[in-house]
Amino acid sequence: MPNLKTDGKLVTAMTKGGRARALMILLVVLMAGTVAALSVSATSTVLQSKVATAAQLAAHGIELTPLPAGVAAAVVSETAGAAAANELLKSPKGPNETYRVLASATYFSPKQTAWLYLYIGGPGFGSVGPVEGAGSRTFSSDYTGVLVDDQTGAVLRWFQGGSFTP
Amino acid sequence: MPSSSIRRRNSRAAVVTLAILLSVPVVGANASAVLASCSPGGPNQDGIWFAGATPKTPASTPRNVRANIEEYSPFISTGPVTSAWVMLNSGGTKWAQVGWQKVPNGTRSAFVQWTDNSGNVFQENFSAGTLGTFPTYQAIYNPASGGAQSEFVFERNGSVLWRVSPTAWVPATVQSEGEIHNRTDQMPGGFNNPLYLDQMQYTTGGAWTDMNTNSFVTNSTIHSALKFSSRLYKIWDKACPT
Repeated sequence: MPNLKTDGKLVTAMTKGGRARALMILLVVLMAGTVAALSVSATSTVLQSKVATAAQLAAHGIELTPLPAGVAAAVVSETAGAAAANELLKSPKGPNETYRVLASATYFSPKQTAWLYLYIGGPGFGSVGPVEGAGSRTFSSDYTGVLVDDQTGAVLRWFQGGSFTP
Repeated sequence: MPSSSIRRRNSRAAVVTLAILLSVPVVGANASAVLASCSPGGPNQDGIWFAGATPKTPASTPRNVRANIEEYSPFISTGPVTSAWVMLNSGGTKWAQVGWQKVPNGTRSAFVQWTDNSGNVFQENFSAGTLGTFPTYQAIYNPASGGAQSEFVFERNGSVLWRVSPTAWVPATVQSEGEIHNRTDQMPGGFNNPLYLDQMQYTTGGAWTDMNTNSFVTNSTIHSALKFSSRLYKIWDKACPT
């Protein structure tokens, strides 16, 4: 299913094999007549990710709101940015959703436009937590996000989230 | 598109993506840096092994914990990850930590990990520090005060990597460890080149206090942790010289 970038254009990053890609392209063509309408609505609508909730993304400093008017156009293409994200994650299949957002490299660094690539699932976390009870905790990695600077192609940072049972 | 079709595709995408991500762990920056790696030659046995300092529960709420953690590149072939960190925590279900990690393809990153009050865990990953340096990793808890909400702040060399506010819980304990998840992987450090967890200190809102607890190691047959002073701990893998 195609996803909407925050500037309202259709994104084709959700590619799951050749057949899925072909179906997606067909869908994009069929929906071409509605792109203008979607663009209009997207400029005033907060988008909803199917990979991570708004609260989860907020924890990572991300809001799927429309980009402010006047931001520079992306220099790095969505495809090139996805390649950088896929290389980081060693994922040959690509992201499940793609957005163009405002994000920062660290918490207080200035926000800039970036490609956000969201993947279902994720790797193991960097730690299993405290020494206390470590052996009994089990983890579920639910999503992974990679932020790529859309002006340079560099990875700004990446994040992941999930849950654990004590 | 029918909702059932969307569900099928999302389900298939989830399975495929999860399989990929689980089989090939995520990487960070500094991919070419492979120094001080040594295969310990252990069996392919999953588990959790720590080496560092025995956790400390101060008499009052800890506000800061820090350590100069050597940027090291341990051997890791199975993972999913090896790390070294400092942490504020409350029991075994609430924690806030910062440090570095390495995954099996040899790449490293700084990481910040925290939990809420509902069994959810979050992690941010940043560019790795330079190998051989000793940046100060610090986790900070600031309670709500003067109209400001409570917060966790995570720093490397005094630069804020990430912030969480408001916090969902109050820390009680401080700790700092190296951590591996499979015995094929090296505990950071070798017996001729141990990993330094230096200047390991905490506060309860006033002056810095040395950690000064005993060393801690999950399995002393294969790993070592040595308390060199009240705030310097060295850890290593007994099978590795470097």
